[in-house]
Amino acid sequence: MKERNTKPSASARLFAATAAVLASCAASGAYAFTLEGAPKVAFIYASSAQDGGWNEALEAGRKAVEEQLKVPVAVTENIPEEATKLRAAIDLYVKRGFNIIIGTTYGYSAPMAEAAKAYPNVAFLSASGTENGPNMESFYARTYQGWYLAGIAAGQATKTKKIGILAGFPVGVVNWDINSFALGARSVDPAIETVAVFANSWWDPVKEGQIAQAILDQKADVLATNLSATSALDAAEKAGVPSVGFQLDMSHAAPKTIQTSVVFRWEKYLVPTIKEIIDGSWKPEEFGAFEGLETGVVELAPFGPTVSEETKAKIEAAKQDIIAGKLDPFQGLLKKQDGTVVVDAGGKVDDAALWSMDYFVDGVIGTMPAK
Amino acid sequence: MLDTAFLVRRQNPGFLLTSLSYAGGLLVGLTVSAMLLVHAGVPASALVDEFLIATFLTSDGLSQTATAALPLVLVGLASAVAMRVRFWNIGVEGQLWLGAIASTWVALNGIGPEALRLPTMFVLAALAGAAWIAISLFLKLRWGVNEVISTLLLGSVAFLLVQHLLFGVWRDPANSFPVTATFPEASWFSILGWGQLHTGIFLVAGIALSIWFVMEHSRAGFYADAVGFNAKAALATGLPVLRTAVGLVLLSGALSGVAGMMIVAGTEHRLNQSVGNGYLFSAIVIAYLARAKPLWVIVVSFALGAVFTAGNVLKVFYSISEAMIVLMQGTVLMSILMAQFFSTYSLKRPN
Amino acid sequence: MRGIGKSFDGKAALRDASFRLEWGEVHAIVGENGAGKSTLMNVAAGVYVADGGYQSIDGEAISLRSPLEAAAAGLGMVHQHFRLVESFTVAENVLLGLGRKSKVKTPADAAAIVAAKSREIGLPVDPHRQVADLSIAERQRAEIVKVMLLGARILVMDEPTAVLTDEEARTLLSFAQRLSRQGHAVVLITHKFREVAAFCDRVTIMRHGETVLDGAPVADVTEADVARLMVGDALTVAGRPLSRPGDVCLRVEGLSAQATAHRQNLNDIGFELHAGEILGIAGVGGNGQEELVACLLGLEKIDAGAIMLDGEDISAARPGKRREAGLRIIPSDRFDSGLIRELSIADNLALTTIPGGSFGGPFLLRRRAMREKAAEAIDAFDIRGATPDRPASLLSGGNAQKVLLARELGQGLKVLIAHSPSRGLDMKATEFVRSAIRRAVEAGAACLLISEDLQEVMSLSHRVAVMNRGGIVGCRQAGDVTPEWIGGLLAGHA
Repeated sequence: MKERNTKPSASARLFAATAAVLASCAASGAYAFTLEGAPKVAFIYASSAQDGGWNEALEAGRKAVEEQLKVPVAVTENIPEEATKLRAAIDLYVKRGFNIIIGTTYGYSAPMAEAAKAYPNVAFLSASGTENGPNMESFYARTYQGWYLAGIAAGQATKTKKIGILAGFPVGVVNWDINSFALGARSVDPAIETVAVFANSWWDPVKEGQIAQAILDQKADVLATNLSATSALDAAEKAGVPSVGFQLDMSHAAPKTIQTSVVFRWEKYLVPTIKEIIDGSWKPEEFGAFEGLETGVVELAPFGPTVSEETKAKIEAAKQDIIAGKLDPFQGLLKKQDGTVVVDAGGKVDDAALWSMDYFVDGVIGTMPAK
Repeated sequence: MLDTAFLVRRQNPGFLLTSLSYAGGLLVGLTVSAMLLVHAGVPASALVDEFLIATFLTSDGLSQTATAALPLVLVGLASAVAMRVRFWNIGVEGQLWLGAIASTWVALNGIGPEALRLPTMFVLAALAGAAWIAISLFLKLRWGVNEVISTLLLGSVAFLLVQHLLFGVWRDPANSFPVTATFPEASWFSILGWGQLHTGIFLVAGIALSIWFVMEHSRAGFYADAVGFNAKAALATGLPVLRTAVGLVLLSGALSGVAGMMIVAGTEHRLNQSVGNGYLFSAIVIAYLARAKPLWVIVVSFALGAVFTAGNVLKVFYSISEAMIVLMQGTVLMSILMAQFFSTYSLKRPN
Repeated sequence: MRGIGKSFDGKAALRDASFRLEWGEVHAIVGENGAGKSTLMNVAAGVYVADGGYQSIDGEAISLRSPLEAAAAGLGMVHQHFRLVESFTVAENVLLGLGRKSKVKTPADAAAIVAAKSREIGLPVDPHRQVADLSIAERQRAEIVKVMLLGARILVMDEPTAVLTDEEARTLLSFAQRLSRQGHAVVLITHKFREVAAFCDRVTIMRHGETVLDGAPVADVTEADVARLMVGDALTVAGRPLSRPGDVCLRVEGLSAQATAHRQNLNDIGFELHAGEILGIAGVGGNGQEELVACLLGLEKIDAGAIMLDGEDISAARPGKRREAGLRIIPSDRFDSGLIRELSIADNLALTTIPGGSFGGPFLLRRRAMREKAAEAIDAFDIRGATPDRPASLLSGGNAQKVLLARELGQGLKVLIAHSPSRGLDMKATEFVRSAIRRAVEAGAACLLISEDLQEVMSLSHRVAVMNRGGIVGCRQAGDVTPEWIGGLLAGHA
């Protein structure tokens, strides 16, 4: 009925543990789990699965699970982020013998954790969740790695040395995308500035279109969106300005101007993880699964027609460096907008600090709302 | 020709006629819904089995229904008491959000001794809800601003306030998510051991019975009817019209506020952006179907809770879309309202 | 028109009324409220169908069953409440009136004929303006043009000057005269003969649904004749209470109130009412009676003056406080401000005494006591078809009035305001109501009787006052009232 209902899913892009720590946490700290009964998988969405963004990316993962693992997979849409409603759905599934439940929004996290305690022999995977346990694992992806590469593409494309990005709300996982995008562009030319604007909504195509136009009016000549709607890309296509999409390959919205899209490939996480659960070798990570370019959970969509070979080569090189651990977008020397140093040369931002990132880095033009 | 027919109000429709038309409306609505479902691919044989039995005859189904009905009873009463004095409270959600905010504040900051935590949350939630509707009431009394508009818009303002808090001071400190931390257990209603049903049911029962007594047996309820049916006559006969109307409107806001507390302290144990959604629609439906009668509000709230439970079953097992569930609820509601209409009016032709 | 009869719900509004109109004249129909003027013309215009009688135009017998047929026969009526759709322009309203069979199909065509007609008859109307934006006088002109465009050669106007300023009224009346000189016929329904006399050729006077003066030339009648014929034998009725007025019970001094939209101002109203006395206030409806009642009752604020009940100023008190002081009311519309339809008879009877605690404290209402009390009242007042639990909406007019009487004449009564207490009642119920009031006054109560029915005022009152344009324009002992005096005041001759 109201805007807030239309896309709670995208709001979901959060994860992270109370004291979110290293995803690389040693296996010794992980739990062990045994599945009882034949595997039956259920996906629960907070809104429509075909939402053009977050849910649709997960839905692609679901289809891969169904095809590759040949297990029964059920889908339920539109279960609101309320404990009573979600718990009812989980109870029903468990009663019918479903034993692998995938929740798709951070809002499900706490009630899922309660259900996990009640059903110790059922496996729970929580996309962008915050809770973990012996039979529950939250998962999210290092999207900032993808955004760093997109930033390189933008840095290569800009002539005015000003690029723009449209985002939802000022939360950690969004802030790191913006910062990483700005840092990627600066790796091309340290003079590049990034205009960042929050729409304060996860889904408002009209407002997003207006904000996109406002960013273009500030002489930005590359436009990226961190949201599920394609309004910003429509505006960029109309203005003939290079653009960057998110979550899915958005080239259909801006076939001429698109550079690339930062996309999720959840099947790269879901297929192996569910296979492990079925095989009995699954050990849920104590602080959740947090994968990136190295497993391909985050990727860049195919480049657009205007991207030069030189750019492609630069991006490929940076990608290999990140995978090899030689490059981290948030490595020192890293400064905030106001010049204070976050990390000295040689250091990097750890995962806990990533999750609570509440600042813009040097080079971003925009205001972070006060706490 | 239909255009030559006209409607005549029935003189004193009897209890039998009223009940029969109600049941008839329900039956028609359910039949049409069943046809829709079969058309959408639910096997007819499964309808009875899974829909009826899972909802009404399993312990799980019943406890879910009862749990879902608790805030529904409160918002239904909120809508009903305002309706009795012809004040259209379209801002039930706004007052609910305010109640949720007030009780969240108490819970997160540990206001007062632990033993009194829940009572403190209750009182503040009621006050916050009443204060929120008081704005609309003041605007109406002072400048004649239509309450339909002001309560509705203040509902949106309340939601923005929730967002402001969730993205601001109350966001999860560890990860900036727009949800509050889980409340300490002192601010939870204890679980009764039957599904998620919690001790809030005693509070709701107490409130509902009190309201029933006040509305049906006390002087205030009598005034409310007189004021609601004919405020001018009530004033001319010397009744305290303003006091009655103000009192019941504030009560309406307070009840919505307590509903907010019931949700955060009963089942969610924290505040997020979606806990209050959809209660406005439910409140109006309940109050209408119950004809603003408190005891009927309880009955209808449980019925609506059951519809939600059944809707959940359908969503989960037959991938029935949300739109279909809403369509079914609308169909049942419309059928009952039409049946009610024809139990009040009869169609006559001239001569 | 001859021998026209018309009854509503068994009550005769017209009996043996006749009316003769000639081409080229302005004809006034004069009479009190309820004399049958409007009813007769509504029969002529096809709004009502007569129960009996004979109608003809140009010697040809006609029987009109709808306003459309009347329009086709060349007869159009401008009602007191204009028949215009406010959200449409004047031209669109005309188009709407013309119907589907007309050759005029578009608003533009309609605008053209409106403009042409407006020029032809010399009545300025802008066809393109929305009716909602027009002043009352402009709306009236628009309505006249519309009626003329629908083919009227006979124009009937119901109280056309009531809503106009003096200047506007003169303009309208000279238009009527002009129209008649062009060969049309114009009928003016009015109770203010003096205002229209100068512009009329002949006058017909009606009383109690009968024609008492059939089309006399205006030059041949005097104002005194008109007043006497209008009022008739009303003054001879006697039946007022036997009591002798005692001390002053209610005193109103210099009461003035500014009217809200479309209402009558009250100007400097003053009177005294004694215990055991009935003061009748006569007057044509809409001259401030409703407003006076509302002010006395406390439903409307007054701007100046005082209302003293037993020497205490109650003009700032809530309605409830005034009731406690002994003020009671029988309103003109029983179900508007007296009874509550949806509530039971027992509830309605208890309505005024519950706040005082007569049926239990604030928590538990003693419903059984309310029912018992109601059963007593039903017996005592012989309220037919009533049980304590039936809703008041099921009562007939007379029985509803008895419920109201049972409540208002109960304990603590000091001053009764009775506003048209027998309106809409049959003979028997009327007599019941009047004798109940008489008895109450004989027992020492004071009564302010406000009525448009002169006969009612005369039959009950010790003293008679006349209300006109929001003020009391005269007051006399009942014995001193003459037809000329009262007729003149009623018609607005100060």
